[in-house]
Parts: sequence; C-alpha cells; structure tokens
Amino acid sequence: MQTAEAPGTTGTSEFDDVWVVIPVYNEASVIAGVVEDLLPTFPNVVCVDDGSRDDSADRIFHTGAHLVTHPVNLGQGAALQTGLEYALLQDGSQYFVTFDADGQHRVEDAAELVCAVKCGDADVALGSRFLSGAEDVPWIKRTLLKAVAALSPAARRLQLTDAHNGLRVLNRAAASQLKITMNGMAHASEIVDYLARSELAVTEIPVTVLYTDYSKAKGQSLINGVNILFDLSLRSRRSS
Amino acid sequence: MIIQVILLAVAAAMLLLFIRNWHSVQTRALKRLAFLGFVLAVVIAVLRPDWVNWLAHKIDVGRGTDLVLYALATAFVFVSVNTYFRLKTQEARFTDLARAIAVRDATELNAERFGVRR
Repeated sequence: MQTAEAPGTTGTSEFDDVWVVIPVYNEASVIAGVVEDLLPTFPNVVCVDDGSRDDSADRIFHTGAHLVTHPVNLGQGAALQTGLEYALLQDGSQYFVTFDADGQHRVEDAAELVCAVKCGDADVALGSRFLSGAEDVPWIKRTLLKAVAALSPAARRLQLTDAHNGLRVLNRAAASQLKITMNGMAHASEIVDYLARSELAVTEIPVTVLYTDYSKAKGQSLINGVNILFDLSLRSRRSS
Repeated sequence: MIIQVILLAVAAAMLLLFIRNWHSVQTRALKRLAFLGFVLAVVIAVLRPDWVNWLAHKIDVGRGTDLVLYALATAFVFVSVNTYFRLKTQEARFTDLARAIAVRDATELNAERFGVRR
C-alpha cells in the first residue's frame, strides 16, 4: 500500500518508499522548480514551510509535494525534524532524503544515495562535496568545511570528509531514532554526532553541489559558524 | 586577596553548574537555598550597614559598597545563566507544540489535496 501519489506521476516507481524532506524558508522563487525536478524521480516529497514570509507555501501548494507549515519560524533543524516525523507517519515510507530547498543538490545524486542505502548495507548515506574533487566549492568555504570535518570528533570517527552537506539519506531505523533538538543551523553537526554515537552504518557518497548565485547568496555566512559552535557546546548539557 | 579567592570560587561554581545539569533536583534546591541566603543578607545589610562594612574589611574589600557591588555582579551572572537555560527549555517545548500543530494540520490538508485515505 503506497500513499499519496503526487498528481502527474503515474504507476509505481522504484522510489515509492522514499520520502524527500525539504525544509523551506523564503524560497518562493526557486522552490517550485526544485520540487518539479524531484517529482518525476521521487513521487513522495514533503516541503516544510518554516514560517516563510514570502509566498513559498503557496508555491508549494500548487506542486505535487506535501505541504507542512510551521505556524511560526523555528529554524532549519526544526523544519527537518518536522518533515521527518511527517514522512515517518506516511504508509510505506522506508527511506528518507534530506534535500536543500535552494536547488544546490542534484536529483541524480539523491537517487544514488538512496541506492547506496537500499541496495548496500549502509543505514545512512551522506553526500560529500569533497570525495571526488571539489573545484566548484569556493575556497574559503572549502577550507572551513574541511576544518570542521577534521576537528569534529564525531566526523573523524565516521571518517567523514564533509560534515555539513544537506543531502542525506536515512533508512527507517535511522530516521526514527533521530531527534534533532538544535532548531537552528547547528543541526548538521548534531546529526553527525548522533550517527557517530549510534550503531548505524554510515557511508559517504560523492555529490556535486551546484553553487548558483542564488544558493551562494542564501548560503551560510561564515560568521554564523560562531553561533553554531556556541549552540553545540551547550547542547549536551541541556539534554540529560 | 580573600575576595579574589571568593569571587574565583563563585565563578568556578557557576561554570560547574553550567556544565552539569542545570535542572536537576539538587541544583534547584541549591538555587532556593542561595536565594534564601541572599534575602537574609539583604535584610541584614539594610538593618546593619556597618556589618557590611565590617565584613568587607574582613575579606580585604575597601568598602561595604564595593562588596555589595560584587555580590550584585555575581547575582546577575547567576540570573543570566538561569534565564538562558529556562529559555532553552521553553524553546524546546514551544517547538514540540508548533510541530504537533503543523503535522496535524498538514495531515488533514494533504489528505484533502491528494485524496488519501488515512
């Protein structure tokens, strides 16, 4: 029994048991395009509108994606968690893809990650910009991201090359155990940390990140790294 | 000299509280005791200002006023940390609430949009 075949897709596809989760915050100009690109391959897409002030929600409404709306803005981490919880509730959902709303990920990369989890023995597949060349990544970002991956004990334990890639695939076991508590941007490190502590098998797959002018403008500012570090350093203290 | 030791000890205690579980029962009890002690100190300081001066001299602080200032600064840090943790807890609950609403509404909305039986 499959749920919610998006309008416009017919029959069953090999990705019927896959749900793509997209946290959306003020992405009205691109979100519909990103969803339309995904739907032919992945019939199940859920967009979590994180209290956008533009008409992102309206754009999503007119696509074949499921729409979940945060009544107020909570942050990307919170939106991811909401999307995962929603997707976990859907009949037949087995695999969960996290995908950025700004169009920087490629659908074929997502499909490849899903295959790695579905066919391989990994529970979780993470996209990495750095496994095979990274000419497109701006150098300052490349240096910083590599430093984070090298300095983070969790990322080191998992031998990750890229700890902050928005493209991930989790199987049901991994997704249902994941509880993102960092509402803001620190969730990426939190997820890696969770994976390192768990018994889950994690694999990294090379992906290409499309640094369009749009995604560059929307992307993380480096100074925000300070906020992320601060949030993370306090997290473990609260949760016990 | 003595006051420096006391203030550093307070800072260390604060850090320890910060790192350890802020919401534990012991910490809560400690916070209440500290508050009682604080109220008592205030009452004494109001009724017997010269005692404050005397105590200040005992621990090598110039004037009673300075001692009160130190106490105030310490109390302020304590309150800030407490508020921070309280806000964090609040935020977590708020998130859970918003998420529950979002998922409930979305289930209904998308069932309508796609005609899914649930």
